[in-house]
Amino acid sequence: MRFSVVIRYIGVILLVLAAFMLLSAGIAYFSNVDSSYYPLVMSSLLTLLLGCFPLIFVPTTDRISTKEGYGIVVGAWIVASIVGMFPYLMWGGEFSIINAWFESVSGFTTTGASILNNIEGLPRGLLFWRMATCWIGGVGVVMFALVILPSIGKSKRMMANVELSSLARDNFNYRSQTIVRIVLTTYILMTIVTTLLLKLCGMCWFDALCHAMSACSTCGFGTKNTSIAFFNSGSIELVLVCAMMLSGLHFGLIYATITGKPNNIFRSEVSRVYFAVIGIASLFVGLSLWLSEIYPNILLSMRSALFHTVSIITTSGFATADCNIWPSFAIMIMIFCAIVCGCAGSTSGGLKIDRFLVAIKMIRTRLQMQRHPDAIFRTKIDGIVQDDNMMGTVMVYIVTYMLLILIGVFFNTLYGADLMTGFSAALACTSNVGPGFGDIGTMNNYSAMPVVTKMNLTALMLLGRLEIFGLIQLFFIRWWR
Amino acid sequence: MKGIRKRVTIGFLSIVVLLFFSGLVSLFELNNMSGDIDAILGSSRRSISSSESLLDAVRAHDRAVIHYAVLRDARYADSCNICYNTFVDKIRLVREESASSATTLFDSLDMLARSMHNVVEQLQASRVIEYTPPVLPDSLATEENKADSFDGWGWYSDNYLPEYDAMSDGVLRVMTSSQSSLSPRAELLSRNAYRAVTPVFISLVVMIAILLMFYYFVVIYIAKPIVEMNKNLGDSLKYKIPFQVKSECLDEVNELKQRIESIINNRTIR
Repeated sequence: MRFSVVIRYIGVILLVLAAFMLLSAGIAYFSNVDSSYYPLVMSSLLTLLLGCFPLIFVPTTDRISTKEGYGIVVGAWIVASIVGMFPYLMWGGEFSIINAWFESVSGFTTTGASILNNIEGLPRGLLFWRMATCWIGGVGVVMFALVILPSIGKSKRMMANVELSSLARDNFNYRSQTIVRIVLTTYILMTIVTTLLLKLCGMCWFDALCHAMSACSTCGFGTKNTSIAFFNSGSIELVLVCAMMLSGLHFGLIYATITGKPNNIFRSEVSRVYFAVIGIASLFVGLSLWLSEIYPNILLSMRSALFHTVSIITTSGFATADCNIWPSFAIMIMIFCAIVCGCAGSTSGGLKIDRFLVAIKMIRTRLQMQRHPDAIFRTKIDGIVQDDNMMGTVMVYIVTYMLLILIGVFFNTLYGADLMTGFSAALACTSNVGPGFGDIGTMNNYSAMPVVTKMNLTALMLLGRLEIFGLIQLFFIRWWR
Repeated sequence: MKGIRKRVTIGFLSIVVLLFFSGLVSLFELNNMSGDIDAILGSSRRSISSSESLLDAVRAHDRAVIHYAVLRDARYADSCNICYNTFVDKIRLVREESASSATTLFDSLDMLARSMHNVVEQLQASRVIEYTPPVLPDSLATEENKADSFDGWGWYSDNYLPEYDAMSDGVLRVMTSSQSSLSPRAELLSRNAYRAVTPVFISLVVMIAILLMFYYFVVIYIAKPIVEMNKNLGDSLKYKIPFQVKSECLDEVNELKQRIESIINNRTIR
């Protein structure tokens, strides 16, 4: 593995971050030069210098090996999270080194878990930088860099493949440059439309933009201490539900639907299952809330159920109520949603509904094989036969994912968390959902967690976002050679 | 970018720029902090001196009242009024220098001063106090003096002293309030101290990262190829092994490698 090449491309990604920091500094400047202006300008200059330095020495290369691709993607996520801490650290307030690291990782991995007790106390520039981290992380840190990297030619496909979910790239039948263009065009368009709709629903421009960025990246960061409950508006909730639901879909399918291509949202089996899970889960949660008399009528129960189900299944984490007071049945469904999550090729994290579908079909095939031992059964998705290798990978991923959550729960409970808090924190961070239950419920945050637990949770966030294996590979030194 | 010299110079200059930048930031932040410290110290000094002047004025008024009412020296009647006016002026001055949040305290101080002086004015209006030395020999004491039943000490302790105590408490409250208003500023100072240190700390971390990269690049693009070339050239001349350099070479180092290759190839052909 050529480290110089890895460092060079991480440098290019740092330039993208520096540009976003400068943009946040611009917002701070136009907000009467708020207290985040100098921290953002300073961070931007440092990031720029750090990003430019490798470009002085390392010449461009048009061939990057798979290992180097993994090195660039994993390295970029880690370095971006470190550099993302700079504005928080320089601003001070509630941001100690650990808290700044937690907030930065949570932003880039679009987890949306926060350590902030007073979000409204943050200056606008810093609030925008917080949203920018999740917006960049939504489609992937490397994706932004791929747009401005015309020189790497054939390596672009490889890097896009490493960045995208393993299942997502199978659904794209385009050249790598087209994939990058489709993903970014869809993403930017969705953000613009959501901003306009939120503005029409009564939010100010700044809040509308921030919430649109957060919803489209399925992060769940907000500008208010009480999240979306602050606005208490049905129309805002509806716009956010639509934005989150679309962001949980494969971007290629959204693009195909808009451009009138045959492989659209309505024909895809995965998206049909996705909508069905949302519908059934919302219905059950709504009925459970209504029967438990949490809300005065069934309409309010259904409204809250739909919002929270979509928020959790798309791994956003926005909230309009304290889910801790919900009945256990509703909480159980929420936990199921946090495991299944959105589609591959979307901005959502977690296990992905594609894998869930493959696993269910494999179980069905296994049962059929027991009844008819001599028959040959094939597992099909969208009419395409899935090969055994892919299905094996899916099963390994599911097992590793569950194992990771178990390890997370072990460490969380070891450092004093109760079982519900420890489990939901591990699940919420591995699936990049954000809020959990217990002490880290929708109306609480992670500030009270011990330092070791925070470090453990940030590791889970990164592992979940990079689909586990990419990050784990880095720990094997032999792999580097 | 071409030229190893240019690359090294730019790399070196980046480090210098970063050093200059971190120095500049720390200077800027320390300057801010020094300004804040000056402001806090100045404010504290002002608060102490104004409290002192208020207390002096109250005491002067008290002394004048003792002379006038207890020692029955009529010459101090005007002094009481002058001291009161001086005190009111001082309150006004201190109020102007103080934060707007202390307005209520100064209003109550004004009220207490007015009430304290009212007691004296009532005494002045009710009777004319003639000059009476504190101890009069019996032979010199007039009938009028002997007949005067006014109990100066009683009036002082019953009417004036409660007002004076209330007034002193009022001044004390103003002093406490102005000192406690310094605590948020001190908190701001500690935050500024954090802000002064963090950018420098982050700049240092970035500089260490850049220095490590600089070292790594110099080693892999300059030192390693030269060492390899030297070794291979030696082997090639000594054992007639083909000259081969595997390390990635840049600019002049690459040219050097190609020239050595061409010299050795020409030699082999001849």
